[in-house]
Amino acid sequence: MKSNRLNTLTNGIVKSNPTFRLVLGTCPTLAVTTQALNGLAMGAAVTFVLLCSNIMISLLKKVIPDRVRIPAFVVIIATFVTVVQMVMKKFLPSLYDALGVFLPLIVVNCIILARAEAFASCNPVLDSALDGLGMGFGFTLSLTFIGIVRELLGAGSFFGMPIGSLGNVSMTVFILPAGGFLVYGTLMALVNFLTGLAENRKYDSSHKEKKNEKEANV
Amino acid sequence: MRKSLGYEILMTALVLVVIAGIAGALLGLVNHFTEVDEDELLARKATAVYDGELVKFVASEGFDAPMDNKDGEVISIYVPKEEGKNVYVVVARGYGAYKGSLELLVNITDGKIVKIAAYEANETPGLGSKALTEDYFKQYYNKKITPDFPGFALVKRPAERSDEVSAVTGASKSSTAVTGAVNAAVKWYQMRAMRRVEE
Repeated sequence: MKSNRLNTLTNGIVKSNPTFRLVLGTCPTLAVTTQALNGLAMGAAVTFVLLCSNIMISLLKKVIPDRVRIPAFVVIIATFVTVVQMVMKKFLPSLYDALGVFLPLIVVNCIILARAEAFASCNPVLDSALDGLGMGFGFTLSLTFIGIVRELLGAGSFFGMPIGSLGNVSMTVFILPAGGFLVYGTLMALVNFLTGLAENRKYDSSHKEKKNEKEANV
Repeated sequence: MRKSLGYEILMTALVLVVIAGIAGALLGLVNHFTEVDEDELLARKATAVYDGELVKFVASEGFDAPMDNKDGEVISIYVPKEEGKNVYVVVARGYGAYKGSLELLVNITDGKIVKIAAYEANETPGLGSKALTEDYFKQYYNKKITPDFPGFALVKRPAERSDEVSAVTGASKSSTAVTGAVNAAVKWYQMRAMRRVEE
């Protein structure tokens, strides 16, 4: 049971990473990752909403009539997004400005609705919370990582701190939308390659050498 | 057992109404604690261009009217609370920025721009944001605004005349918007404030 829960938590971070493996929520992924800090803030906001909405929907799954579950989910999600928006506007106005329209757009973020529909509406509260946390962390890590790469190549800085004279040789394209796609695609290929490698190793170690050779030939 | 149509409609509506009601109450509560006072926000941001307490500039007829212009416009004016100072903090909006428009705070002291700061500007970091740095703003500083000063001219080469400003490479849209906002502030100053000083 314990390892099951751990699996639920890590599932979103590696195996079903929402950004690199499930390719969900690409709109904010590409739009806000011009700076690492923006990516981190977006990820944190989504994590909070995902955690709260998963808990809430899991708690209410017996109350909400099946036929109107989508409007009920959307109201719950929109409530938490608005809370995040209000808190951010008050206490982090610069980040609020930087995220712009993508903050309210979390309401229709497919990761959140997908987890509500696929997981929280048919699982117990604790598991739903862990799933929300895991998915949120996975999203945050991916966005921050993309942000770090784009900021480093495009502006020559790391979390807003300039690195030496790297800013003078920065490649502007990486801050522009086209560069977002370039970085996203390359990182996705890299992540898929690495996870594929890791899976193969696991597969290999549990199989005979004969099968191993066969795989290599293919 | 099949439930009646009326029962289903009632239950469905009731659940949705209850959820929406709880959500509304929660949001009202959060809003109560996080409401942002725009005036307070401006006063806090204005300390970037003027060190002291500011009050909104409301003068006799037509004095506080915002100026309309296709490149930029004046939104509001603030003056020091302390009287007898020739200081105006102009909140000006410039058009043509990468994301539509941007707003600047411009401090005009004794007929010269002495300090500019971004107020509401969200240009691309590392690109348009270069036109929102002190290095770029410096070009507008300490140039005497006379009644016939034509406004700053944006050029895409090193500035030669004193009313010329050299645009930031790769950020010409943001540079244009900044110049539009500054020029709106300058024009306001020429038309309204200078007349008052002369009187």
